[in-house]
Amino acid sequence: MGLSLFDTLGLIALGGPALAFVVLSLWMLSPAPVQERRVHQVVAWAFSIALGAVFILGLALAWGGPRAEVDLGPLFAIRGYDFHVHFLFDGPALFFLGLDYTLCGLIGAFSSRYLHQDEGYRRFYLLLLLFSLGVGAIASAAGLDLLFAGWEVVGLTSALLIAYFNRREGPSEHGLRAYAVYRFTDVGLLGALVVIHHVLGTTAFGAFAGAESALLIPGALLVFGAMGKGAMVPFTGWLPRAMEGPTPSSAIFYGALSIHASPFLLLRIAPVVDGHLSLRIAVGLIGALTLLHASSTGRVQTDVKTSLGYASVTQVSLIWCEIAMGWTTLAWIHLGGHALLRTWQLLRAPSVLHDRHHLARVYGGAVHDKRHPAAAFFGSTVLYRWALERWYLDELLAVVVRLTLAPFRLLDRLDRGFAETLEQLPEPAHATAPPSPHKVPTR
Amino acid sequence: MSPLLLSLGAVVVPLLVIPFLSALRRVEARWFAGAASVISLVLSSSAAVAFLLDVRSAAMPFGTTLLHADALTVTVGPAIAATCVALILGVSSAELEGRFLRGVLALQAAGIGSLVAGGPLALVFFELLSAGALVFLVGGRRGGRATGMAMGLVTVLLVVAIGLDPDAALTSWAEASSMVSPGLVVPVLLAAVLLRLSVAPFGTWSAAASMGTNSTHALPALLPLGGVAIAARWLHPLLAHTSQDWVLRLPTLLLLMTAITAAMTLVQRDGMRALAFTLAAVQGLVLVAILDPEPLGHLGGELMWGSSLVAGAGFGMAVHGARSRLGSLDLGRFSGLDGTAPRLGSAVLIFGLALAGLPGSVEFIAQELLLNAGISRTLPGLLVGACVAALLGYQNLRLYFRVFHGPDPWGRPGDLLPREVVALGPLAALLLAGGVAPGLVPLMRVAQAAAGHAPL
Repeated sequence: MGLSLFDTLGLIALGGPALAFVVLSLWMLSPAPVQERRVHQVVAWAFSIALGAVFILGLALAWGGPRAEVDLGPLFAIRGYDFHVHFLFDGPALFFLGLDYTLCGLIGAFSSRYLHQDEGYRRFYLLLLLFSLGVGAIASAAGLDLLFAGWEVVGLTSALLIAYFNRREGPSEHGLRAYAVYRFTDVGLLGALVVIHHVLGTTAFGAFAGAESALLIPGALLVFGAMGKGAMVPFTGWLPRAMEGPTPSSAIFYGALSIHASPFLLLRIAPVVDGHLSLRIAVGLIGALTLLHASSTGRVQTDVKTSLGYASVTQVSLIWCEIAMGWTTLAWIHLGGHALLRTWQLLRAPSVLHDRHHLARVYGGAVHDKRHPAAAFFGSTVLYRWALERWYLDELLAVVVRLTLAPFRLLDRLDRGFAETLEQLPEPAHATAPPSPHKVPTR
Repeated sequence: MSPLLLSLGAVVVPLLVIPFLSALRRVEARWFAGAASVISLVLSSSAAVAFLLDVRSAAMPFGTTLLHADALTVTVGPAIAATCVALILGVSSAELEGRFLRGVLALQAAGIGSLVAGGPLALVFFELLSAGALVFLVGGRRGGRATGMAMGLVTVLLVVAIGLDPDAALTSWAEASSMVSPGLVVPVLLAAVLLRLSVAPFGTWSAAASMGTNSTHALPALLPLGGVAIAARWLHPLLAHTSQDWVLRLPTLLLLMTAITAAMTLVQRDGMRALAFTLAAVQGLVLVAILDPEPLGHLGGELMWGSSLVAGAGFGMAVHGARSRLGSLDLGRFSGLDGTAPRLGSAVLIFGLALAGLPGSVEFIAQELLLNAGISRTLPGLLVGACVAALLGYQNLRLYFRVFHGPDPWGRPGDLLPREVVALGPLAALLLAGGVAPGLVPLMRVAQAAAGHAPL
């Protein structure tokens, strides 16, 4: 396999964080704890090198250079099915990769002080590297197979980082809740991937153009798959709970990258969405409904991180609407701008009281709005309460889950009862007879 | 040396050691049994290497009506041996018994034996040995009676299947697959396999045996050490020659049973019972794939059999390690083991996610193959299959969170012991190596060579 200079740069862009992850994982297996400074250095170097490679590739592409591709060949190829490890560094991929490494690098630098001497410091950096690899795979995958692998990794790291403060029960419960939503909606992505394999024989994005008419069902499944990570209605409930994780991870996941993976997926499959009016309407309706939900609910939140979380969903749902309208360029700009702004806001969130006090000192008095913005927005207590209860979506989902599990609880009771009945059958005569005095007990 | 002889050696060595174990003390017996198991592993791995080096053995599986070796033998054989080595080394000293060691060695011999069996009769012999070993392991304990009844029924069903078609029983696999069997053989064999693999609603015995404070003895019963060979070698070719209506609906039915088994994990409070249902659901997926009429799905099933053995053994051992440290696993509360046993937590997480198809593991490839084959002919079938995979992933992470997160437990139990590292480390390495370089797996190598994608 001969690699050109640009292909090598592409390999470096993905290989840097991967190598750092392997090195840190092996290092952490050693009995002596790895110094915080060393962990930070490894991560900083990895992201710097990777970002440098992405930057050069981006410049080359902008000046009409070749598009880098790294085809590591098939992971396996069997008659009728193959899984290609093929990365493509086109404009969208480099854009999202650049965002990935810039923000992960920034979060890495920020966290070296924010999490200093925290017992999970090393775990955090390991998960940050794994997350950036997952996003890297989503960004640069040339087909849905590899994108799905990255998607899974991002979901897993997300759940583990929400549950970062693992001595407390709340974060762990919320991490599980997020993971449940991810796994449920991933069924759509996995289903789409298989159907596309059957229809086109490949899941490469390049094959979608011209075959849109055959991709209505997979397109619908992909839209469903994107709803979980994008926290679209009715799956929004996990997002405010996800803010239990450390602030840097909240910033990178729910302000910047993970939540934007959903519009990224829709933009990647834009030919399919554009090719079916029904899909565009579905994307637009889901986006509009979520927009209404998140903007109304976000206004009545009482803590800054949750309200920023809902603000993120509001913007992501707007991007969904833009994609439905076919304004993909606007969607890309919106995606990048929002990711950067929201990361900054979330990183400033822990200092919000300090900022308010600072403003109060500057203006010579307390800084208070005369009237709460929510009051102006709602006007009625019914609507206010509706928003405060987050449209009762959590309760609705809880009922659905309870009803779904009810038959299995019944089955379980029956199974236990049957097992107990079997155990209580009378012992056969030889089993209840006293042991022979000549029998030597076995060891 | 021929793969067949090496595989046969892997069967004989554990059987030779069993009689001597009762004369040894517990610790000595563990190392003696471990050494025998490792020798068996070396022999079966050597068979895999010999198979890959010898092109002819791939082109023409050789053997007689009694013995037979092919890509499946040399792929799953080492997985069975590695699983048994881990079981022997990983069991806690407090629960170590001579009976456990003898039972595991018998299961190892029976498992590899079922792969080298050259026809139905030899296969039934090894499956009966396997069922007997399970009754020996679990008998006299909680769930022992249910296990005894289930294995008794399996024995009866297998004998009935042989009795229904005695002519086929004495033939080799190649001849048996071309013969038309009486219509009753298929349902009888299917019932035996479902019961042996404890897929819902036939899973009462394994769930009952897995509960209780001293339940490591039941772990071998939860792993697909036996039963799958019947489906792969005997039932699969028979189904291809059966045109009854219900056979056409069989994949959907099996998939639904697997989905119910997977959903049952969500309503469990006892961690060990949840583990039993999880492993039963994985076995259900293996069965769905193995009986897939499409070669791609069948290959995925065979691969999943090997990988689920390794991942399931690792997951089971790690979960049992957590249970032996905490006394019990109540999934209704957080047990906080991560504070003192983070490496054990990592093991549970890695094996649990690998079992559910974590990208980078062999199981991921096996699931890809399964989902792209027969069950994806209908959208509902595909979605149910994907839901099972999703449920397993969620359940295994839930188990990890409930056991390892939360406030520190009383008594501050310790982390992985060196012995446990030796038991679990190679399993993790096998899973990841197979996932990153699937071409090293003999089954995959043969399939890729047949498709002209790789040299053999």
